[in-house]
Amino acid sequence: MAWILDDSRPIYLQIVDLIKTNIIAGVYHPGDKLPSVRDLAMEASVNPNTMQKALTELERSGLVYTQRTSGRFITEDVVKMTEIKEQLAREQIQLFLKNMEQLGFTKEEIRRLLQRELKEDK
Amino acid sequence: MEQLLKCENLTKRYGYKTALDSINLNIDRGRIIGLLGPNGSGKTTLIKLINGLLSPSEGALTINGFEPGPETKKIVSYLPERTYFNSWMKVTDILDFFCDFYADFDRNRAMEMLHRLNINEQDRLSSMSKGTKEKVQLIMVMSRNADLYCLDEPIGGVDPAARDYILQTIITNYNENASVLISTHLISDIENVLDDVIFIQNGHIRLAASVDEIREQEGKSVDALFREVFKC
Amino acid sequence: MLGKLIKHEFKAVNRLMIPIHLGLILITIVGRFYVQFAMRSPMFHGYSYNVWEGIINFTLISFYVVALLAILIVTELYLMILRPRKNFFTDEGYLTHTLPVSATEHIFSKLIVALVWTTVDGILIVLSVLTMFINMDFLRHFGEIWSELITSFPDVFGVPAGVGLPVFLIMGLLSSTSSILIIYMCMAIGHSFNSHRILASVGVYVGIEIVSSLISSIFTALIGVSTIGKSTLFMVSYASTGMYNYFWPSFWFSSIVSVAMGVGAFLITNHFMTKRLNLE
Repeated sequence: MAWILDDSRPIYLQIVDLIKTNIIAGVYHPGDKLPSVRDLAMEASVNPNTMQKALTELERSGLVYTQRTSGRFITEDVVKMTEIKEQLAREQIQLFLKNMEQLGFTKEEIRRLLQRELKEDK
Repeated sequence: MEQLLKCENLTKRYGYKTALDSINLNIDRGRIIGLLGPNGSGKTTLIKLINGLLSPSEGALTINGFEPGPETKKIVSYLPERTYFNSWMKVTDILDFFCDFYADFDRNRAMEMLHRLNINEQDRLSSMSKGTKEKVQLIMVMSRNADLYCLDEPIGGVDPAARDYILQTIITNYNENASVLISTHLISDIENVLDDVIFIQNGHIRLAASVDEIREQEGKSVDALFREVFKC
Repeated sequence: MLGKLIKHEFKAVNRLMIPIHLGLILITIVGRFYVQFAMRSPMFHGYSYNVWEGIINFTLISFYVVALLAILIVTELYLMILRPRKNFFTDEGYLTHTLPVSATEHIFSKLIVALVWTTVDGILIVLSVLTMFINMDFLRHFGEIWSELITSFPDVFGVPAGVGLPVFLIMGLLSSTSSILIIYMCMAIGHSFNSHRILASVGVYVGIEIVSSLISSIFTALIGVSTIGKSTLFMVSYASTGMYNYFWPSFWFSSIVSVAMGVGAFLITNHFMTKRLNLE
């Protein structure tokens, strides 16, 4: 997986988002063991402290859990996964709506455009 | 545990020129810190003071509670800008040298890193390119289990592949009881591996903060902030 | 740590010292065979004179003398100046001065290795000259020559040879130790400058020489003994003036001067290496 990081936001937040996306997209499967902090840090070319911070953040959101001796695992809690998946989807939609608004589209226009787009896709 | 590095009103003058002016600075353990500033800002002076290659004109500097001297040199590992090995030396001579003088030197770790670069123990330094010599020196320095690593401009003038190698080496050897101080003026290259940054200019500390803080508060990268602070 | 420093110091200087002294031994052996061969020549016994043989012999002897001088000079120059300068005050200094070792130990390790090798160098050169020119006559009369040297010793120096020779040895050791330390001091001071470091080092050395010869000539005028802590000079002046009453005063004077200058030079070097280091 590519660790593409941008300049504007704290690096650990970007890593949280990247890992979240990967979990949702199925790159990591429920119950999978995550590589060690050091290995992940190496892979992403970031500081181990930053990676640690990102993983702690993920634990707090419930996507990742720690087993005291054996390491970190992806949650098997399907409800939680769906919840986060929906949350990410909503974030994307909100971003989309905001951008459309900036372009001057009304809600009605957006809906019409979207419907047409979705129909054409079929 | 004692504060790893502590500078109190640290001043260094060369004749009439003041290279460092009353600097107050603390460094904790377990951090990777960028010492950032334009050329001639006092980065190398600070690093030389930490390593006892210069003595303060005023103020004090302690490492783990000691003033620089044989006691602190046991726990500080230093990569200067210069290559300091004799060219007649073989890799094994250098390994022997470090083993003899630094109790914290991990020969196996060094050999492992050397082998990964296909450097043989019997190779002579004189047969190596400048880049390879610099890598050997970095490996020696990072193979110590020191408390403080001081890397002076490790990525200045190296190609991107070598830069990645250096950063990977720093990350691999990270441990939570030790800190790494990296001086550079090429910030964007190393920004992602830093915990904290210290901006230094004309012998003064302009800013000392964590990278996350800067990004959260300023909404921009350290590199962008640096360009702003040090705008000509 | 001093032991380890000395070990690595030997390792570094042996790379040059062993080959050039093996060279010396080789030259001596070859030379000895040649002398043996040349002595059989009729010319050597005064029967005839061959110009070419004369030229060849002269050239070879000159070569030998130049080789001896070169070995002596290279040894001293390398051990006392080039090696310490490179290891302490150039890029290598970045490693040297970040070892967990005190400046005192650094100075002593260099000093001890320099003393050992200059002594070996001196002994080998004397042996080489002896080997080259000893013949059966000399060996046959060696006992007589030696006993005469011993018996006449008190007449010249005022003390028995059993006392005088060890005293000369001590004086030689003290004076070479202090002169090496003075050279270190000059380099340490010179390299604390921001530029023209070598020139500054030489300048300091010349200054010290002027001052010390000034002081010594004042002392000479005062007590009538010409010595500035240099035992050879001392012996020459001593033998020529025959002032054998002054053996002990001269010994003490020269030793005290050597020790005082050596200690002073050491302290200053130590100070400059710990507090005023100025690597480029």
